[in-house]
Amino acid sequence: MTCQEAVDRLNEYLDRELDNLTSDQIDKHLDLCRLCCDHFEFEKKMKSLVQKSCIKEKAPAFLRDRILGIFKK
Amino acid sequence: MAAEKNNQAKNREFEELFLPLLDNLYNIALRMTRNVKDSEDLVQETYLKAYRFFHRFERGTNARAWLLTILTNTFRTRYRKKKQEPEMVDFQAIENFCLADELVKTISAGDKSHAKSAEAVTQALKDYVSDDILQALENVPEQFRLAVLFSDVEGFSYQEISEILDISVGTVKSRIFRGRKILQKLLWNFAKEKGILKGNE
Repeated sequence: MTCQEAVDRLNEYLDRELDNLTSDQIDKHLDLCRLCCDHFEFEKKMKSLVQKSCIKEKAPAFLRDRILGIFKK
Repeated sequence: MAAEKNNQAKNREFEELFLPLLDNLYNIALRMTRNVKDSEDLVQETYLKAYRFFHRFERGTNARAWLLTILTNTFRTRYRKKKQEPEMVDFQAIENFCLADELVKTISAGDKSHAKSAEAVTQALKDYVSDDILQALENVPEQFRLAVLFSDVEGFSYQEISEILDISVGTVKSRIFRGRKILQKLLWNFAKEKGILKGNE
């Protein structure tokens, strides 16, 4: 697999959308290619950074109470 | 009596299935509406609808996906046009943009070894705080933002996202791809403005 072929599948690889065979081929490429390995690591961190940033808030207590009020009368 | 018992069982089931998802929904609503008051209203309306249509929920299917579908549809019909959406992006200009490459280029403008620059790039990424990410995300146009949120935050598959957003899997793929590019471009602009890379230049 070439660098370009690996990078073309970057998103699907990160999102676990590839079949095992293709995914293994990418893993093999990443073992051999330092540049792609760094690049993929970076994108993986980026994805988890987005996740961490977006799960920080707690719903306010009054909202929880209002929602409980919908079915607890 | 029997009807009341039935109702109690229904309420208990509803609570067990959906109440633990409240924070989850609230966070997604915040990123969708980009406004606290609208998020609260949106979440409340979502739960009201979910309760009203609870009989349509297929037991054993993904409760989170079901609730987020209601949230998305409610958002689309009620809240979407309220706040100015970011302008559409020129995709040609960002099609090949890669934040990692830009960081490497800037950082290794000096004469550093590759190992050192990889380390420095990781550090540069750490210098972004949550607020930078959230602010950048706010400026990603809605259709791309939602696809990225459902993938990165909720961890849904492309198939699941295609069902929630009611678009084809191919469209999901291209929206995630483009959404990430736009996000990275915005973060790159921040890095330049805020001098995140100053120490390395």
